[in-house]
Parts: sequence; structure tokens; C-alpha cells
Amino acid sequence: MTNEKGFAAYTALKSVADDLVMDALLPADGGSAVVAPISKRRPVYEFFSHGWGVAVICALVAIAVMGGIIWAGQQPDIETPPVGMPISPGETKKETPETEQMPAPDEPSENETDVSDTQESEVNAVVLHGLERKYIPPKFLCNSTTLTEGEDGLRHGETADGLGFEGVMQSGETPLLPTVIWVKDGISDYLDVAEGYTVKEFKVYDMDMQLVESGSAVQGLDSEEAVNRFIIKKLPVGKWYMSLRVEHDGGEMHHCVYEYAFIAEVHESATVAVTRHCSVSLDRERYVWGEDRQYLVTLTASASGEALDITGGRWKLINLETDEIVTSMQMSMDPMCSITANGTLSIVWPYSSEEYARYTTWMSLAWEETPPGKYRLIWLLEPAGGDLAVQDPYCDFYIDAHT
Amino acid sequence: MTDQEIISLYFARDEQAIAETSRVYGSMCMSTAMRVLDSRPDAEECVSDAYLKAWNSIPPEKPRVLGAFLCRITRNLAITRYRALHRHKRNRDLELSLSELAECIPAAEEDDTLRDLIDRFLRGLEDTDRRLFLGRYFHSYTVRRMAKAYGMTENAVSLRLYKTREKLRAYLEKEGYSI
Repeated sequence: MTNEKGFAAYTALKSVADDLVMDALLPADGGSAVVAPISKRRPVYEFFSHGWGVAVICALVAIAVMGGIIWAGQQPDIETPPVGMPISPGETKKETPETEQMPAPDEPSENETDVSDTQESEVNAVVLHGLERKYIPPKFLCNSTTLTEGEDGLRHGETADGLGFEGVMQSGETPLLPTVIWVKDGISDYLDVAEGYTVKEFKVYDMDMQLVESGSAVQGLDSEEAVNRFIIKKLPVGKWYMSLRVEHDGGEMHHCVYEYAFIAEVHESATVAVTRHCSVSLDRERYVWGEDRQYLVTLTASASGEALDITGGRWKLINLETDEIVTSMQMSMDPMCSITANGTLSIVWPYSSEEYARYTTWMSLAWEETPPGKYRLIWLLEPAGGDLAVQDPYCDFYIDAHT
Repeated sequence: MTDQEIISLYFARDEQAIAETSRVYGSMCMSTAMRVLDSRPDAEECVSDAYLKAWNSIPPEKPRVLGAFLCRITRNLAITRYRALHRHKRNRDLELSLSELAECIPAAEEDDTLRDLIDRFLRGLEDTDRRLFLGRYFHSYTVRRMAKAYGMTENAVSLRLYKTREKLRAYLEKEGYSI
């Protein structure tokens, strides 16, 4: 059932003038209007839109009036100077106190140093190499390329062996897609995570799935931006498998967990390396919808570069409390999926080439027919070479009492 | 290559026009289609259809702003395709934005007066409010993405959108439209 009224309303809007259409495009889509960041201070009207804001103002006015009355009662009677009479020389108009100075949008913080022009262009070139295929807003990427000083005291990008890591998680899209770029003599070696998201854990394995390194996120230096970073060092040239757990804490009903896994290659030269990653996510906020309420679980898998030859993938949904593969729920699925006798959902991977590919598939669980419990959804990626036979990433989710 | 040069290729019936269109505006068209369809294969087909439609429309049409022209075609084709394809698999964010739009604009097909009123209303808005409104309801950007781009919180964007919708609704009702 689509939103017919909305489509009809859209019909009236679709003829809006060309200049307005182009003006509203964001720069990442070729919009010419540079979107100047707006001060993060709350606009006055927002303040007044809350009842307490009005109450505060009323209280201040009342205090001022009362103070005035008391003050007047304590003063000797003096004649009010006639209109036009100059005020005494000692009195000067009080300057309005300056409001808190906000740093300019592009001004680096104390802990941040902008990359030099040379470095920036180098990084941009790296980024732009994959831009067309990855739909990453270039502005966002450019703004992310800063050097930072971490808790370890190292200027990232100057790690002992000169290997750096940079990842950028695309903001504003769901699910988020981390783009991973490995560089030698790298500019930076952290992963920025979009506002509201937290990197809970990362793991690095070698290709035999031996754990090489793991850790939790390093809280970002600029807490206002809610930036989370994690740092990986001393990874020699070669292929590495990484998994990353990211949470979005938007309250009980908006809590999302994203799992990412990807293969990254560390190259000798500072060029874009191959990335391959996939993720599953469950977003309860988005998918509890209308009359036909359902949980919708989305998988997004992406790959690019020479290493890609993925032939298929499988879902597996397990009830973690009973360890049973779930087969009894009513499921609907993408036309390219099919369910097998043992409860595994198979999908046909539509790409098998060296081209970048992003494929999103989905399945939904009927709201009423899915009992409360703890579930794990596993996505099994099947590259042709068979070198990624791991049961990661997975997505655990909880279904509470139905409301 | 400038818009005018690309349009000249269309007028000359030179197929290079499509290649140049794709080179200059391909990314914009693709992201426009993706925001509605959320499926790369569907979006690719949609963009191909948009190029074909541009090829068939120019001439006689001679768009003043080629980018807007292509954006509009792509958007309309994507919406049409979305309606045809997505009976079950829905783009929730798009559905939400359409619902919000229906709160402030009456369902009217090809109403020139209404179109002019909306145009006048939008031009009277403060720049940021207008960009947020069209970004959300024309280009289908998510609130989160706009919040990031404009350096605002998501709540602030939502609040501004709400206020603009209310203003538009009041404005159109004052002009005699029933919503």
C-alpha cells in the first residue's frame, strides 16, 4: 500500500523552479550552494518553542521588575531629567556582553591539525579514486582528513612503521558503510564514525583467521562531535580481515547494532586498496511500520576492486536461547532470496565481476508471529576463492514484548 | 563541457550527448534514483531511462538548467518505478517524507495556480529553510544527512521542517485550498 496522498502532493511540488531545485542540492550531488554550517547554538525561536523557555524569560522579567521596585524604593527622590537632557559623563552605554565565541567551522581544534595542502590533495586523490562507485560525499571525506593526536601521544599518520589506516563511515545513510583505505606512510589511522554511533569493538585477523589485534574504540577528542576512533598499528603489507562492531544508541527502541567485516589490503604505495565489506543490521525504529508491522533486517554487502569475485551469500537466523535455526516464522524476502529446508536463506549475488558492487537484500519477520527472544542473524559471504568462510558478521537482536 | 555544449550535442542528435550527460550528471542522477529506489540495479535502469527521456525530449525542449531538468526527470521516473515495484519492500524514509508532504500540500494534479503559490511561498522563505524543505521533499535527503551537511542537530532540522510545513499549510489554506 503506497502513500497515494503523498504522491499526489509530490506532483504539486515536482514543478518547482529549476533554480530552487539546484539550490537545494547538497554539494555531494553537485549542488552549487555550499552549505555553510550553522552555529550549533540553539536558535532563539527554538528556545521559545519550549514552555520552559518562556517560563525562564517570564521569571527573569519578574525578577527584574521586582528588583527595580526595590531599588526605586531605596533611592532618594530625584527629578527625572527632561527628555533630551544629557546623561552624566560617568554613565556610558553598557556594551552588550559578547556571546560565547564559537570557533569558525573550519578552524581546527587544539588537538587537530589540518593536513597540509600537499597531504590533503594526496588524500583527496585517494578518496576520489573510489568516489564514483561508493557514493561518498566528497565534502565529508575531505573534512575528515585531519591529523590527530591520540591518547598514546602519537601523531596518527606517524606510526612506528609508517603504516596508516583511514576509514570513513558514510553519514546520513542507513545502513552505514565504512570505506576502508589503507595507506603506507598514511595520513591518518583512525576511523571516524558518524554522530550518535559508537565503535564498540574491532578485531583484526590474518587470513587464517588468527586474531592479530583487537580493542575497543578510542573515544574521539572532540566529544561534541561524538567522534569515535580506533587505531590500528603495525600491520605489515598483506591482506587482513577485520570486523567492527558499531552501536547506535538512540534509546531502547532505537538501539541498533551494526556489524561490519571487510578485507583490507595493505599496499606498498599510498593508493587505494581493495576493500570488501558487508554488514547486517536491524533497525527497529524504521521497520515497525503501519498496519503490517514487521521487523525488517537488511543486509548490505559491498565490494570493489580486483579481489572481488563473490558468488553468493546466505542468511541464517538462530534463536540464541534455544540454539535453533528459525524456520517457523513467517518471512518475506527479496525475490532473489530463497529459503532452504534447514532454514538458511540463500540469495543470489547479482555481481560477479571486478566492478564495485553494492547489493542490499532484506527479509522481514512478521511482527505478531515473531516471539520475544534473542536472535542472531548470520550472513555468510561466499567468495569464489573460498577465503572468507567465516560466520561474521552477525547481528544479534532482541525482540521484547510486543507493544 | 558546459550545459549549452551538451544541449547542442542533443540538438545535433550526436549520441555523445548521452556520454557527456553521464559524465557530468551521472553521479547526481544515480544518487537521486538511489535515494528513492534504494536498489542499485533499479537505480541504474532508472538513470538509463532518464537519459533516454532526455534524448527524446531535447529537442524540442531546451532546458535552461540541464542539471535540474535531469534531476526532475530522474526523480519522477524513480517515483513511478518505486510505485510499480515496491508493494512490499518500501523505502520507509521516502514514505515518511511523502506523508509529511501530504500534510501541507493538497492532492492536486497539474494545478498551475497551486504550483505558482508554492513557488512564491518557497521564494519567500529564508534560504536555509527553503533548502531544507526542498532537500527533504524534492531530493529526498534524510534528515540525518541534511543535519550533517548544515551543521545542525537532527531535531533542529525536523523542527524547521515542521514549522515550514505548518507555514505552507496555513498559506495554502488562506489561498483557498483545503488540505
